[in-house]
Amino acid sequence: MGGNKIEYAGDTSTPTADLTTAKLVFNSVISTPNAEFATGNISDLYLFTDMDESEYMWIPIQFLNPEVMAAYKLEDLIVDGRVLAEISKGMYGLP
Amino acid sequence: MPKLASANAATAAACNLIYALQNPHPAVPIAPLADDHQKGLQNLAEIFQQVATHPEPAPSVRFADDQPNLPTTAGSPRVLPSGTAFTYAGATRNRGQVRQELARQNKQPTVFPPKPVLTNNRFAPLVDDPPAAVPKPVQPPSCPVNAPARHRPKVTATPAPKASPPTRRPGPHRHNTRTKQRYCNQQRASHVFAEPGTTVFPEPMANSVIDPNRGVSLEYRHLIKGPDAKRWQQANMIEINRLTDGRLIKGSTGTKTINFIARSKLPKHKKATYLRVVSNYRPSKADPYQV
Repeated sequence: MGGNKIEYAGDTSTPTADLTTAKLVFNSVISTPNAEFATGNISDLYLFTDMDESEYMWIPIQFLNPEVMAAYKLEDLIVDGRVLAEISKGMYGLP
Repeated sequence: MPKLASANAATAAACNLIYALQNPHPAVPIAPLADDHQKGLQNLAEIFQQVATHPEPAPSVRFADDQPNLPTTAGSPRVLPSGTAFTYAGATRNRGQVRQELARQNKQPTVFPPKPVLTNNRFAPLVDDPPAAVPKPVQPPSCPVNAPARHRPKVTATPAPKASPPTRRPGPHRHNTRTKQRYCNQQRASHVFAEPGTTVFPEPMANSVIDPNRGVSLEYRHLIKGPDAKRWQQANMIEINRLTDGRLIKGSTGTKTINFIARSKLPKHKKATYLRVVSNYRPSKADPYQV
């Protein structure tokens, strides 16, 4: 989505682990005999993150498959060949 | 066994040199010496002989009046006789002290050579560089100062040669635009000789799919009209299923990120943005068709 058209007044950052925390973890691992270290990945983390205020986006129907149009009954929502979508969580392209 | 003195060694070397030059070895064809050369060598040998037998005194000290105790340097000047109290005045006084002392004695101070200017060059040039040619300033045309302004010739400064701007290529655009298409055309030229029936993927480019036949970058709107349209549409449906509640694919759970609404539900203070579909071919993924 085009984030350049959005004026979002809220916080657009995501808190992450700082360098001190990472060093503590690494130091603990290498200082513990027979320690094992594992990493993990959270899929679609940002897609699950709620926003304080929703954003909106027009989707041309040429990008929507017939299956999608039928499943969500979008025929009644078409305006000038587009469908309006409300974005309530984090998504690619947001500021 | 007595050791040979340095002066005697120098004299012997000069004599040997003269003898060698005057009597060349038959195997070494050396041109015979001219008379003036022989005379010069002979003078050189005599000079060596005189220096060895009658060494001249060492150069006088700069402030001869300040060193009354300076002994004569005849013989071996390096080692002073034991018990001689000698202090070299120049080594213990700086220039300011010398000037003050000379002023007390009403003497003209010695002109010291200027201090060498230290430069960044590690090695100073052995030969002074010739002075650089100083460009002559542009002289305005002669004009009487008191002349009226309207009679004064107009002075136009010679414009300085305009420096050519540095050649700077524009940076690549973040989106798939003409910049990438030019690159793709270059890639296409390298794919002409690919074996038929094989799919050749050019160098990886971010967020773009390259047509192996034409070498141009393709957007999603192009891909859904190509031979792999069904696969790209399937990838698009998977992405929409992920963004919505996941009702398109059984057994999946969507993130409920987006929700289709009517236009009347758009708040008045909000402005809807546009959609941009980014497609990419990722061979390392389980499903390389990514939207």
